Amino acid sequence: MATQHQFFDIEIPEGIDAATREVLADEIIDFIRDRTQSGKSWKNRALPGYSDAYAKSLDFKIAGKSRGDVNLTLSGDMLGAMTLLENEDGRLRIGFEEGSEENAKADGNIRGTYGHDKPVGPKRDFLGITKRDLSHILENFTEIDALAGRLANRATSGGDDNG
Amino acid sequence: MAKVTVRGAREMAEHIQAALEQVARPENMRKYAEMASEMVRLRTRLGSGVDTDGANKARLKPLADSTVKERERLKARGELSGDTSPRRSNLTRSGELLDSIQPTQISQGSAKIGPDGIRSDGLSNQKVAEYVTAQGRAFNNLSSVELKRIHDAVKRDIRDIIKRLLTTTK
Repeated sequence: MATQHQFFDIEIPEGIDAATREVLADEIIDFIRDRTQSGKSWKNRALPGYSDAYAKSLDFKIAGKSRGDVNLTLSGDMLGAMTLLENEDGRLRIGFEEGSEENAKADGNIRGTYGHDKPVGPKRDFLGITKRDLSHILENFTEIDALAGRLANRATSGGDDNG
Repeated sequence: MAKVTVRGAREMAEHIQAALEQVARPENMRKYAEMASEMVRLRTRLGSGVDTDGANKARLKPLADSTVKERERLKARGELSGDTSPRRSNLTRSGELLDSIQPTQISQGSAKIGPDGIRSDGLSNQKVAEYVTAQGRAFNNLSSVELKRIHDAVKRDIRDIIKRLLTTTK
């Protein structure tokens, strides 16, 4: 089976302007990265441990990894590449650029395929967010968060604030 | 007629300017440069290079058979770095080249990273880097994803500074 494009859609309240939705997406992506690096799946369950073969590999040693710290981080590029793919009123799509190496890595982790056609290992599904976690982010997302985020995006993008 | 003031807009502009100046300070630029240095070191050790800033990373060219044999001899003598193997193409023999990657020039709003210093074999790491690059194994650049990661870190810092400014001036 070919690599699948990995993304997920989030329903958010309608009526939020596009620039603020972008800031909200950044907060959600940061949350997913932090949660994954703490060893949890999108359902907040512990990610399955690493195989013996992987733990003995040179890559594992080079990256300074430890068996007790399952964080889906080798170079850091996979989690770093997670991005806002679509930004619409009431809906955000978060995931990986289709066809990218990082999408392939994410797909391998999520489906347990790890570069093969069929699952060869445990699934480590990190891409998503529970309703409870999303509600917590939305409830704590203040006007100051939105404004600071919009200003930061504007300062670093060189584009217009379309909010 | 309603009176319109631009005081709010001016304050916002001042917040952005203050945040940018703070983020661009040399001590922050050093932090981003060290992030970038670690990315280059780790990514190269894992076996990938980057041709130019913003390009995708790609596996480094495989080693010639003669080089592999030489590296096998080095390993047998205990002279091959533990961060490599005889067949792995990752610009690592003693480890000195990649260990030397560090911030080399830091100033307000600007930072450069690169190999530095003289190796145990008497060569400069800069010259060795130039040699391997000329041989088709460019590595001292940041990939598109690595640039995104640094950009995201800068953006986060700016956002946090602005949040602090907005909160304390309310």
